[in-house]
Amino acid sequence: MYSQGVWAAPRRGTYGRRASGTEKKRVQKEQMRLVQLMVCLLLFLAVFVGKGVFPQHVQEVGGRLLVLIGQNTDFRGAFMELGQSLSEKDSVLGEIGAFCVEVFGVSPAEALPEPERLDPPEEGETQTEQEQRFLNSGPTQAALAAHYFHLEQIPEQWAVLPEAPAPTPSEPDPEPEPEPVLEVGAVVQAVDYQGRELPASYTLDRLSLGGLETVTPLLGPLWSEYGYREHPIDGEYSFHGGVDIGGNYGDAILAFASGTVEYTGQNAAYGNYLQIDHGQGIKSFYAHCSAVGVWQGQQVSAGDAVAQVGSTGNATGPHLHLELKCGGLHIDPAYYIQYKLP
Amino acid sequence: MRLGRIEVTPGFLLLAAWLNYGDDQNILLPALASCTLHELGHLWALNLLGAPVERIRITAAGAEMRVGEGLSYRGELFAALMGPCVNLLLAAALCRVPGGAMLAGMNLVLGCFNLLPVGGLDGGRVLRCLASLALGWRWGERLHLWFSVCSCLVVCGVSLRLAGRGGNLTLTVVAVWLFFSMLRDCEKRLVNRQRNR
Repeated sequence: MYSQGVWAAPRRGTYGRRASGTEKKRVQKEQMRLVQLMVCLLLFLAVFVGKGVFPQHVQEVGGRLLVLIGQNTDFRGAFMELGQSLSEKDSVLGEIGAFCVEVFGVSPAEALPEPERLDPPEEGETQTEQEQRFLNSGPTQAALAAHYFHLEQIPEQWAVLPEAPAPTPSEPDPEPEPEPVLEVGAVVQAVDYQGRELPASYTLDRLSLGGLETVTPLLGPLWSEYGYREHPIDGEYSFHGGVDIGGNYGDAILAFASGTVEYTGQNAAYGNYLQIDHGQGIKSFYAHCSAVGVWQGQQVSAGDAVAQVGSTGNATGPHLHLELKCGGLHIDPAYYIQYKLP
Repeated sequence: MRLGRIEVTPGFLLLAAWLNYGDDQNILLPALASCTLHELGHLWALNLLGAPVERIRITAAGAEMRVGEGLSYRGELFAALMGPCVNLLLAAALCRVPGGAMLAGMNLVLGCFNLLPVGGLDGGRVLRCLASLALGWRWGERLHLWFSVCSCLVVCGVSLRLAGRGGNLTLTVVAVWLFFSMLRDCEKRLVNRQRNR
């Protein structure tokens, strides 16, 4: 991508003329440098102040900008494919075309980016990373003990200890039958959590939804759980206020339960989103949708298709970001839905 | 910033820093190496022709070489072609080497990109030389300008269409770069013509 500029060296006869010319040039150059310095200073101040005053916003803009200018394009892979096709003497023109499409035109349906960090460990992980990942997955007391005693399975007698939900598809319905239905907001199962302090209005406990009839909005693998995690895009360690369920672009997202659509909207972080109010302080929130099919105030029943899976907003791939709130507290949706093993 | 015959502009350093920052896959160094080999190809050709290279200036728009007198159109053509040739030869050679697929692909892209008939690139220079040899100086410059502007506009248009459809802005960035490179080339040609008057 480097061009070559060639021009003849100045001839001898122009020395006299050059003397005053260079003086002017020097002044011009100095002015240019000053302007450049000013611009750099302004940019620096803007980012500095921005980061101090609206850090979240600046991060969002930065992330979006990076995605826009193709930072998530797999250049290395594209180059490699091209090189390989060369050696196989395939139609090189066709390959170059494919390369251009890959690098320049990424349609949302076939975006190359990797999904968010998942539970299955990658090979070659260091022990500390493994350890960290295990702890981040919010293990139960029994699992923790088994892990540190290097046991393969959790012994039976430990299984009676209170457990955080294990990702099994055969999990029973949200409200535990035949136990008596507790009132909305009552703690069904408190989690003995010893980690970093939770943000305000977030709880790890399992609360009762008062016998609400619910439906799993999207049946898919749990890409990212509720709780502290390393953010897949900006790498910061933050609290994930919901769950990320993987899906195909365009899959239907069903209403968690009957209720009224409280609001729909669009922003840089959540993309297309909507929130449904199910009454009694229970609300469900759906984000990164490719399209929202309901409007504010619409009445929906449990299981109605309200939106479609997409990757709008701050997302690395098509998935549903689901949040559940009860009485102003964010709760872990994993207690109330079914999902596949990642 | 200058070291002997080679000068590096701050614009280039800024661009390199930004690319490095955004480079997750560590392809910046192989890319720079490929570009260096490309320029060495130019230098070698100029050496063969006996044209003295007085100064090499590395800017954000590319590497510029100030050459002394004595470069005919044919010579310029040869020198301009030598750069992309090196890249293409490397691509052909590396693709057979195990593990060289990525470098081969990269060199292929570099070579083909430089052969595009746009202003500042080698392809544009080749076009100008060929046109000048065939139709004379004036037509050479004219055709070169028209081709450059048209290609720039086409690339801009395509990139905006792609970006509108949900693609990324990489092509737009490339289009803008091409545009500036073309402007720079025009500027140099004007200065050259003024000096030679």
